[in-house]
Amino acid sequence: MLWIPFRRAFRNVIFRGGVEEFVNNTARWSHGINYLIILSIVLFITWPKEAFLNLRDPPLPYVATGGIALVMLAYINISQGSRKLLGEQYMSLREWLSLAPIKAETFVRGYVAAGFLECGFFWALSLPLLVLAAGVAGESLTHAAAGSLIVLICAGTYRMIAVALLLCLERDEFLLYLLVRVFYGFMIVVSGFVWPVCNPIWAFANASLWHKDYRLQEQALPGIEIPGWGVTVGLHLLIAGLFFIIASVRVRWIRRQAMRLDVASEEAETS
Amino acid sequence: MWRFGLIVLVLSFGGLPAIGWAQITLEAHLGLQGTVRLEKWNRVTVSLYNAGAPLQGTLGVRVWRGSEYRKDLHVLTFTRAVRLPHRARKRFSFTVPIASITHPIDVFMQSAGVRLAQQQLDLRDALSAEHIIVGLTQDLSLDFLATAFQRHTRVTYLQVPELPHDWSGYDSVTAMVMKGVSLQSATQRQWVALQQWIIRGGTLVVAGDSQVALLQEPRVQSLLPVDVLGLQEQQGLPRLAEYYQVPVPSVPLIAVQARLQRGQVLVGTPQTPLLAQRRLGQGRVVFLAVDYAARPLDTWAGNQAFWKDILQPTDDIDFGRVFAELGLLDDTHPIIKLLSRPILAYPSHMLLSVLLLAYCGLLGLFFWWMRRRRARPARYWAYGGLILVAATVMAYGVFPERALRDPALLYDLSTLEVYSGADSARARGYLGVFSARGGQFDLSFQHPTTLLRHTFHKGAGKAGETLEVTTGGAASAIRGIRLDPWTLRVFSVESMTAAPIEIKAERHSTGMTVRVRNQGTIALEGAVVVSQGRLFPLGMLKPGEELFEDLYTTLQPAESQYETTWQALFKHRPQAADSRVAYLQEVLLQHHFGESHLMEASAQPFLAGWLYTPTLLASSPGSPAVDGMTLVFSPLVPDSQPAGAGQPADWQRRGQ
Repeated sequence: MLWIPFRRAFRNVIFRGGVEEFVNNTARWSHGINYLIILSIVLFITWPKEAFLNLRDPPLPYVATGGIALVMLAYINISQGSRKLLGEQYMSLREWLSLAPIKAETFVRGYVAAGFLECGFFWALSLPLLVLAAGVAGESLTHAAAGSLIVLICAGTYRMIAVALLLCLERDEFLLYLLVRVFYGFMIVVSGFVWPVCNPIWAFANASLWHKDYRLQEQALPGIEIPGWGVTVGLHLLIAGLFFIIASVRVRWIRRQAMRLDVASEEAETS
Repeated sequence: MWRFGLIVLVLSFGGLPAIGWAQITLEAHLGLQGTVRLEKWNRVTVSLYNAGAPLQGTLGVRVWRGSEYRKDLHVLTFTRAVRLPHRARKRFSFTVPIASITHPIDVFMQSAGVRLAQQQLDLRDALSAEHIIVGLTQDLSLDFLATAFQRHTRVTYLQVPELPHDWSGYDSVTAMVMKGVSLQSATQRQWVALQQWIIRGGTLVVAGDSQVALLQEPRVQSLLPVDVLGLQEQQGLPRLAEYYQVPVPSVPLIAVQARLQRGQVLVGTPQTPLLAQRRLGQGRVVFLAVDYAARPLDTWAGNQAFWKDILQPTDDIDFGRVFAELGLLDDTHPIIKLLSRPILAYPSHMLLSVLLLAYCGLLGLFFWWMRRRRARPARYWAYGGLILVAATVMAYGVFPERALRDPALLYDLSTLEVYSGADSARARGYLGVFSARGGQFDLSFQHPTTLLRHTFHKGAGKAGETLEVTTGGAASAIRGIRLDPWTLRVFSVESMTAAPIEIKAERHSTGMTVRVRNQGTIALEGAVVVSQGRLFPLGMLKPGEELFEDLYTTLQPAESQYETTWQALFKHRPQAADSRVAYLQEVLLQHHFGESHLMEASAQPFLAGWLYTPTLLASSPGSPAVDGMTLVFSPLVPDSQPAGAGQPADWQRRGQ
């Protein structure tokens, strides 16, 4: 049963193209290695030097490694997501869609899934380092799992937002460039001060032993109390869902426009 | 309709469990005849009467401890299981700490979660005193002691059956005066409790009267510094008058005829001691040969000075405890000191580098292989996934700090003070429960009477404000220690336990002869006698082994005069493979001896040794393992100290 969605996804031509492009693009692997080296340096620097038990603060490696991983993954996904992924670098999406004989939904799903593949690749690279850091920081596997989930969902959300922005602002590259970086700055830095429940780094710290120092407001629903990081994850999922809808609507609109233009040009040719 | 209502009413009452408010009568009394001593453990006596069906339940006493200033106010609930048959009347004793009169004490009886009876004891109504003197006498002849001292003193009179059953019941008692009462009628528990209280520092005054046979009973005789021979008539007390420079009326009186057996004569001679004392552990047993309530002592003008010398009440404030309550000693607590040692075993940077290089290198090789060989993408994913899974499993399995993965770290650092001629030893424990991930924990004690002197918490999180102390069984426990992640709760506890070693020292012309017998079940390791700045290693003493050693101070080189005691003993400790054992020993030695120099500390010879096991905490299944160490300390009082050769220095000083 679990395999069915993956089989369906793999039949998606856009996704398959994305996977092929991903495997053949050696630049991404070197990006991955660079990303891993930076995380390793962070882990090495924050690794406990003295073996005494610091009662005031739990060991730093886990939160530091997770936080840096989040900052980097957010940037990678926002910047990479706002760049054209497939072979459409030399033509606009409108032209590409008018030429490709696929449905709008298929395109959006495939494109987003291919983006998530890249997101998952970077996330998976950092997983052993997170587990390593959790081990010396006294964090449980539950904390490590929650932290990894936060990293994955937040990074995936930023990917989704970047893809939606790309589809909407394809023609105005400067505005797109500016907007994604403003958005990144807001989510990673500004939100920590003005809207902490939306900040992924706070959520990550909140799901660790440092949760007393980085307390996010818990939300009480009838019969259940959602931790602060749970609210952040829920919020990011909602945002991702919203931007997926925006992206779908935009692609359909482009597709419809392209078809209308095709019909018009055919009519012009026949007349 | 009313019949239906009646049936419903009857059925609803019938459905209730066989418990109810009216069945249990609870009556609680505070302290020794209503007298309590603040900052000490005081007795709470609870009488229960069950007029209803037999029931089982829990009897509890709830007290407040801690300080609002430190935001460490917490509730201690002492509980014990109770079984009450129909028409049963039972009496139970608790010993509870009373720090202030602000909060009342709650006494309650509950069964199946339902409170059947309760009573609140308002401490503002209690009689509090700074000294409590217990009179174990047939008359009320000690009332004059209430005004004899500068500090507020109260005298309470008890009968033998009312004596505490545990040494902790005496915690609030400064001294006990016994006259004309037989200790043979006390139960074995009461007798052991009395002995343990004296060993722990209590003062027992045994005064003579015409019933000399009571002083010749085995129990009293085993405590007294003299052999009681009989009665004798004499005229006045000239030696007393001479000593205090206060004339004593020269009236005929009856005195107990005795002969010094051990200890010192304070007034009189070894053949006819009027006042003699012996040290028993940290306490004293004082023998007074005459009746203090009869002529001429009852009206003697020197009575106040005389009793002050007999009882030697310490007017000192226990600054240690006050400072501890204020949190000023938190950082010097052994557990806090221990945690500042490198007790954790983090993998080294070198090991981390190897793993990181291996991981990054493997991935690099994999990517290089992918570029060189064009294989099916599925194969790439499989190999890549395999590398990631292997690295993650290795990171989880090989690298973590083991101790932090445990639910909690439990430490028991104990000091066991063993005294020559005493069956019991005083154990003082410093316990710590640290949890990296938080949770709820219990501490089980090896001994049924273990007093919780002080507790506080530290760390990134908070600790729960309620603690339950269960008593009444073969062992006591502290339950419901709730800890947030990365939080430590520290306890200072005290107990009396069977002395693990029997020790005897005799002085000779060139040194000392020491006889040590290990009567416990655990080996005494690294035993060393310290005398006059010299260390005499005795080595290990296995259970049942006895050691007889002649120590010649002239043959043994002295340690450096600048050497501190703890450093000298630390150097002579048995070498252990695990460095953490050394940290436990270092902390214990530092805490016990402070920064005192060896010459100064060894003016009174002592024996020190190690039991490589916790003394106070018991390991129970399902709870984290206890890591601990016990320092055995025994002051050596050579038997050949000339008895009655002179009054002890403190007595001479006070006499003047």
